[in-house]
Formats: sequence, C-alpha cells, structure tokens
Amino acid sequence: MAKTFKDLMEEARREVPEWSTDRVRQHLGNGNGYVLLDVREKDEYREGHLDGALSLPRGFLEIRAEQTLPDKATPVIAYCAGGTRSLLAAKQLKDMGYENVVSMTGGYTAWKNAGFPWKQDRQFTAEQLNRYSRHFMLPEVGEEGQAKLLDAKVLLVGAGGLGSPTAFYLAAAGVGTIGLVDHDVVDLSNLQRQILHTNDRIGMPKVESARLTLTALNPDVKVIGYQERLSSENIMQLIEGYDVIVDGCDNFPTRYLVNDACVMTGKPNVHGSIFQFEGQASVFYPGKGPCYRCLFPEPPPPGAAPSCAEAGVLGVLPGLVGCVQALETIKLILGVGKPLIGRMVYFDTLSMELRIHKLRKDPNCPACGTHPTVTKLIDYEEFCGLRAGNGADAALEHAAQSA
Amino acid sequence: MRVRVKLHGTLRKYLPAGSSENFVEVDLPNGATVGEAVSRLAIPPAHAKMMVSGNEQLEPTAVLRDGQELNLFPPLAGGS
Repeated sequence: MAKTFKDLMEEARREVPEWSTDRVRQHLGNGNGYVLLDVREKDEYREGHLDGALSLPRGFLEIRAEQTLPDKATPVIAYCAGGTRSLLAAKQLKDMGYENVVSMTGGYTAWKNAGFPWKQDRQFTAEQLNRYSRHFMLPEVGEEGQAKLLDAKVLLVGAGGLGSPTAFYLAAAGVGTIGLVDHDVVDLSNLQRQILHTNDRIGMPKVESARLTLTALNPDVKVIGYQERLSSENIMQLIEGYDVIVDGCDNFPTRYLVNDACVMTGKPNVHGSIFQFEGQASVFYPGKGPCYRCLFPEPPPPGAAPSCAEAGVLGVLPGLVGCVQALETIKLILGVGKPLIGRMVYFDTLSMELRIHKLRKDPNCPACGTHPTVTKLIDYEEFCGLRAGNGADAALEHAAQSA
Repeated sequence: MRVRVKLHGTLRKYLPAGSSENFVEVDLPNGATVGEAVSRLAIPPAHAKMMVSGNEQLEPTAVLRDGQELNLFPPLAGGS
C-alpha cells in the first residue's frame, strides 16, 4: 500500500531518536565525536549553520553520504531548518547502515532562536559561484577552501619565465592578493616564454603588464606590483603580510636572500629553478623541512651556473616548473595533499624523465641548523662572489638586472 | 666495481668528450665513496652538492656498491 507523508514520518520516528537543541548542545560540548550533518539546501547553509557542520543537502544524501561519512559507525546528528527533512534524512541514513543517527527537533531555527552559536561562511557572489564551480565540486577545495584562496596573500619574486605561469594559475584559482616583485620592463626577447606579457607592452614595467593580464583574467584578484630590486634592505618589509613566497628569480644572490628571509620569518618558500631543458622545484618550509641552504650551503662559483639569459632556455620549460610552483602554493593554502616539503622534483624534459627525491635537513645548516650562523641578512652579491673585480662581471651585471 | 654516474644540468660539462648520454660509467676500487666518484670525474666539490641514489640523498662519505647509479644535481640559477 502506498505510504502517506504521515506514514513516512511515523516510521522515521520509530527508528530515529529525536534530540532537543539543548541536548545536542550538551553532547557537542562533551566532545563525544558526533558529526553534525546539515541536510538543508546549499543556499540555506550559506546563510548560517552550526559551527563545524558538514553540508550534505538531502537531494544528494544517498549519492554523497558514503563519501562524506565513510565510517558507518560514526555517530551523526542531522539537522535541517525545522526538524522534518532531517528526520527523513536520518531514517534514510539508518537504512543505508549508519548505526547511530539522531535528528535535531526544531532544527536550525530552534537552535538560533535559543541563542546558541552559529556561523556564517563567506558569502560568494553569483559570479564567484559560477567562476569557481569546478573547485566547489572538489571536497578538497569546496567553499571553505575557495574562501581560503580568496583570503590568501602570495608574493611572487619575479614576473618572468617562472612567475608568469605561477601568477596566471594563482589568479585563475582566485588567490585574492598576488604581490609581484620585478624591477624590469618587458623586452621582446621575454615573449618566447613570459606569457604574462604581450607584444604591445614592450617597454612597460613587468609588474604593470602582469597586473593588466591578471585582473583581465580574474577581477577578484588584487595585484600589487613592486617595481623594485629585491634586496636585504627591502625584503623584510616586502614579504611581511604575505602567507607564501614563491621564488621565481633568475640569480643566486636573490635565491639566498629569499631563503634566509623566509627562514628568519618562518614563511614557506616555494622554489623553482631552470636551466635550458631541465628544472627543479621544492617547498622550503621553515620548521617543517630543509631550507635551500641545507641543500646548497654556498652558491656555486661565479659563472658555473648560468642564467637563462646566458645559457638559453626552452620557452615551455618555465611553464612546466612554474605550474608546479602554483600547484604547491595552492596545496599549502588549502592544507591538502602532500606538499614538496623535504622533497625535490627534477624534470629533464629532453628525455622526459621526472625524478622525485628526498631532501635532508642539515643539522649544521648555517641558516636553519641547530646553531645558525646566518642570523641577519648579508650582502648576497658579495656572498655569491659577484662583486666587480673578481672576473665575474657578466654574472654580476645579469644578477643586478634580474630579481 | 663499476658505478654509473648521471650528471644533470650544468654538471653535464664534466661528461667525457663525445658523450651522447648524460651518464658515465666509472670504475672504482671496492669500498669507494661518493666523494671519490665525484673526484674521479674531476668535478670540483663546490659544483656537486646534491648527490642522490634511488630517491635518497647521500653524503660524500657514503660508500658505493657495484652497479649503483649515482645522480649529481647542481643548483640552478635560472627562472626568468
């Protein structure tokens, strides 16, 4: 015989305990491991929900329950706006094998009326809901992760070969604030790989060209350009306020400068570097893994490791490595996956060999070891042997031009 | 014993003249170390800082075994 709504409710009440808002609050306060499940529609959830509640609209309940709650022994408190939808949802969960499911009577309305705490997540605009819809589908990102991206502040050192793809993808992903440090202007020889810039912008400061490109792609992003050379004098002020620093520079003095400043401030340094057809990337996260100096305590002799301007570079190579840097940056912001902390990825694109190897933290590291000797920023050009008069004039000139 | 040393990036210039691959087979006495292999190839120690076998980083004092593959990675400067 066909069941009426009343029949369904009575059947649910026979199987599902109903708890008052007081009782729910008491249980949550006791830390009994209950999972709060909000079965209302997404737009209702966005307007306000119990702190820590998972959103699983009733329309998707059967489809996503096992993904959202893989352990069927997990105790669940379901709620909706008034207590009806959650009762029916709880019954359905019981039928699916969930052992301990209760429904909150009076729902979110009663909870809020009782003056209990609730939370409102970031309110996305209709355009944002559409723009980031593919992110929202991923449980690892979702609305919470997208809000983290929009709140994140990332500083890119260099708006060139590596900085271009990194900036592009961070902007597309909705990283809310992107700072760019580069004192250079767009040159025709950059356009073979530096995809932020265009032919009609030759002579324009790279940070300005980058701002035009990135804001055209995503107006959500605030782009802050610093048309200056990174130095011991300005780096601390520049990196202050940024969550992640991305090293896409083109010379050793800047790489050691960025490393030391990040170690001193505890900021993660997403490293990428390239040579002709090969590239490497890693994440140097102070306190969590080795730093650049653990690997390379001192720079190679001047001239031993030429830059792209000196040795040439296949234009697509920085695209590959810069994308890895963007990906690692996003993983750090979201707190998902396994970042390249204590590991290095090395690409040899001619043979298309990709190697990932472990990196060791050096207890004797001069920057992050147990007894560091680098306790303040130094003269990095001198440290890298690039002061004039030592036969490395070409390298010095290039280092001075690229940051 | 014989080990294979792969040279990456800027270290390729230390490959024997005419090498078509990025590795060189090196004959060493049994018990030879990573540092000795680097020295045999006339690579200044300041140029070869990251020495890797399998996916593990090795110290210059690590002892090599016959047939082992050693990878030498330099720091790379480029990025623009």
